[in-house]
Amino acid sequence: MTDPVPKPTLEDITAFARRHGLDRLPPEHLARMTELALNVSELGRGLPRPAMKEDPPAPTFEFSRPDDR
Amino acid sequence: MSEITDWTLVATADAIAAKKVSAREVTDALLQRIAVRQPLLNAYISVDPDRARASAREADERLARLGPSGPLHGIPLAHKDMFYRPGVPVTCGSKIRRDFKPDILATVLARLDAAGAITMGALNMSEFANGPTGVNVHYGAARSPWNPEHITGGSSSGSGSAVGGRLAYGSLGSDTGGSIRLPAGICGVYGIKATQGRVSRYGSMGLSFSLDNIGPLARTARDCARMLGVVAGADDDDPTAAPVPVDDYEAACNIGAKGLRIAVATNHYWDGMDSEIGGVLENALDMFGKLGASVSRRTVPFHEELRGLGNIVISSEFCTLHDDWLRNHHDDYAPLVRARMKQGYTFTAVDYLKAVQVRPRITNAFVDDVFGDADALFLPVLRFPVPKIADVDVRDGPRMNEILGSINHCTWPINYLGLPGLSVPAGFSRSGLPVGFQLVGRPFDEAMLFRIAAAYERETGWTERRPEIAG
Amino acid sequence: MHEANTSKPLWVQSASASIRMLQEGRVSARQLTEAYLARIAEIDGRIHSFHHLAEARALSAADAADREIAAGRWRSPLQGIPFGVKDNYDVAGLPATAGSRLRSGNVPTRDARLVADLEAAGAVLLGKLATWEYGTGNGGEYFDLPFPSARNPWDTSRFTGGSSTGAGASVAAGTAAFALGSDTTGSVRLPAAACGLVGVILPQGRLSGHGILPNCYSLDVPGPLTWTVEDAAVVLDVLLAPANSYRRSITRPIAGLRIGVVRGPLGRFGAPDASVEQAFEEAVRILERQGARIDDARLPMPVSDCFDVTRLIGPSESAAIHEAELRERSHEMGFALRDKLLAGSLVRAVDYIHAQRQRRLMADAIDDLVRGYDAIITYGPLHVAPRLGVEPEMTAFTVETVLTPFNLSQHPAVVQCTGYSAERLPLSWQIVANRHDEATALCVAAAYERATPWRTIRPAL
Repeated sequence: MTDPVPKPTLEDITAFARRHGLDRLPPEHLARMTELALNVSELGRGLPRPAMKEDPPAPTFEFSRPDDR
Repeated sequence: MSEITDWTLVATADAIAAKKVSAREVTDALLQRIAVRQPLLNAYISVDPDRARASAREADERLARLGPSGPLHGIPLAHKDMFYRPGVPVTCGSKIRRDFKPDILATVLARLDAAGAITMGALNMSEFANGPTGVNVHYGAARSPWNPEHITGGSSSGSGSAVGGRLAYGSLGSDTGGSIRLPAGICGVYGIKATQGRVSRYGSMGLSFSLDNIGPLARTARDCARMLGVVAGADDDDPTAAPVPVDDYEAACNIGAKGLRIAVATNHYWDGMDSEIGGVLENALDMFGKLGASVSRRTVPFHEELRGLGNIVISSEFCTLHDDWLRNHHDDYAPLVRARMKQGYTFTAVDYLKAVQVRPRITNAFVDDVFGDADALFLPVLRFPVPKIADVDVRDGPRMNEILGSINHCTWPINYLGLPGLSVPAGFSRSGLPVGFQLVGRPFDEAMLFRIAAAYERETGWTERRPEIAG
Repeated sequence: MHEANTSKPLWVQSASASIRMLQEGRVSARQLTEAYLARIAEIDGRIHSFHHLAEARALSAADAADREIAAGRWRSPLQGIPFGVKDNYDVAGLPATAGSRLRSGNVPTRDARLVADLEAAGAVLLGKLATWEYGTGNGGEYFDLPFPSARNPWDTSRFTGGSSTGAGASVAAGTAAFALGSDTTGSVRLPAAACGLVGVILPQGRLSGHGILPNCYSLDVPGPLTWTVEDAAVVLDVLLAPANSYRRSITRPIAGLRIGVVRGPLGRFGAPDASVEQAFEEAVRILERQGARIDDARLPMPVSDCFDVTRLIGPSESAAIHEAELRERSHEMGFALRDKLLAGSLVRAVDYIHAQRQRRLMADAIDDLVRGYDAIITYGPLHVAPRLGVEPEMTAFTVETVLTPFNLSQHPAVVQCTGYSAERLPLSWQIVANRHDEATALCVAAAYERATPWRTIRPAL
């Protein structure tokens, strides 16, 4: 979790945006995204990991049961 | 007279309860057979004869004093090596967990204990339950009891091999993309992946929080039904275990299939069907007609989406669990497992959220469409004869996705839908290897699947054929 | 017929006081609504609490309320009481722009559930209240939205707190008797704190989110902002119809209640403003004098850790919800919304899932803490309302709070006014109760409010 993270380049982020349907973002927004990317990545990697593998996530969405419909 | 170790689980339980045979005799007979067959099949990671004999002794003593403690009294079982018991090593088929000893007891094990069952040892599995072939670089591949050069299927590989090879009367496995149904169908036994949330997962190794299921493999429909009945149901320790009442699955085995409607998926799941395997499955469909059930053929929706959605959810969640080990124990993973896992890093939170969010809608639409006028959906297990181990051991090579995808082609989409799926033995190919089909049902309608399967089994008797191996 | 109390304007008093006047026939619903509309005409040009005002509709609703009252028919205690809803709520026939160019011209055909419920109860909707774009923000003010930014009535050079900016401004300034907002990581409680109000959130599922533009499915909750605790109790009584009326529950004395006072750990956030801290400690003593059993307690983790978890969950879910807008119309968004969605698009699935795992552990640990008491007291925001658009105090106000733990854990929480700073800016604290026991939080808040004079002071606009 403390390995140095390489700074994403505009090229990296443009490729990322293309892969994820964001290819129509104007250049200035891609540039801003590049600025944000290192921060987001560090925030994600820096989050402490729960100690036990068995710790499940909080429910994100309810899986509807037959009687719920 | 067939040997004790060839009896069904239910027949053996009846015999023990009636004191026609002791638990000790059954366990000893099984241990003898294991000693001969285990080197051929590699179904077990570890056998614990002392513990098994001690448990059998206790079972006999208790039977004498108080009668049977439950419907599995004195029955030797063995489980995929991923269920936790305090102080007992659980390897999860991996190097990383080779020396891991948990300090909690899995709810499913507690329930089997309460029903009187005995544990023989820990069964082989794909590393961290990841892999549909049954190949394992750390412990060796499990082998098919029908021909040891062929795969067992995975990831509950040892479960398929042990139950098919008569080295255990039943086994708990897990299924996230086919890992109970594949080894069951490939090894000629029953295996049920129940509805998402039917069985508690407390105290078991996780692969995917959203798609994992635990369920039994056993030789007959009734055997499988009995085991499911013991382990199913709500659990305070597992909030995802649904508080839906548990049906009497064994009783359902008596009802018969007359008047039931079975739909056969003709698209996607039947693509590239080998003509010989197709023939065996058509015979099974003809048999339904004899049983008084009607068969209709139709296309089913969403298979394109289900593949991708399941992949996003499973690989993101699997990756999450292994994130830190991947960094600190990179080389201790099999290359195949590592490669599959790394796909998970390419997904964004948005991808994951969308995949999770649409699940109830797609499921409801699928159920409304398919089960509007059918009681069960008939799918193949494999579309080709059971392959040889050598032909599928592709590691992380360029054909990895293609080979693995072809194996779990028919099972994978069902996990995302969360619907119950039961593998049913349907005969054998000319090469002597099993052919199976899946019955898929409405949410929490496992009883329907057992009803159809048991009726089919009575008529066909496939479960009586034994593998020809020594011991 | 009806005789209005002309000694002070009607908007100065609490909703409950207006309710009593209505029920005693001393004022009509029409007069009440006219009074609020007059107040809006008088000062909303300076505080910008409304995005869309619906005058004719409101007067018509007020007249309908009066006709029913005349016929002896009372739908609820809120009959005839004027209110506003944040502009991310749908109201049939009214613009629902959520403060955004992306939704200009959007006029829904169905009411949000809570709006329908309040109107069915006879309350009078005045209009749609100001909000940060899409009911979300990043703590900064960029003055780049299609509406003028709402202003804090206590000092119009200052921020109202967000994202339910107009809800905060309106109830403090008297342009609405009560308001409904929404809260993901503080958006009801922050404006309540900054504007000297009562703000309440309940666990998800208690109040319906139907018809409210979603921001983050796993954290969003609606919530009322009111002048007094009694007002909040009445609104919740009408919306939830509990077996034991909140309005009656809050009259209970708090002697003997076990209250945990949580001053930290604050982690990265540093200390509260001296005025906030002083008011907090004095407020604790007031509870003590009323017989509450006070214990020192601590959060099971630094509060900044809770905030970090929300930073992975919130933007990701927003990015999933508003994916199409980001893809096609990013240039039409304000900076705050766009930045959040860009960041949310970058989060890995693995990190989001870890955040939800961490969330569950934090929620369990926080629940363990709260279960040890009848209620716990914490700071709300650590700072007073900042000057609008001035950094770093703007972002510090929004970020440095003790609000996020209870979004993660889904406990009921009440923010209330604990006094005013030397510059006459509202001070606040937060009262948190066990998951099905919001009545206790309201009760503690009411006991504190009864023992203090803060509700007699309105902004000097």
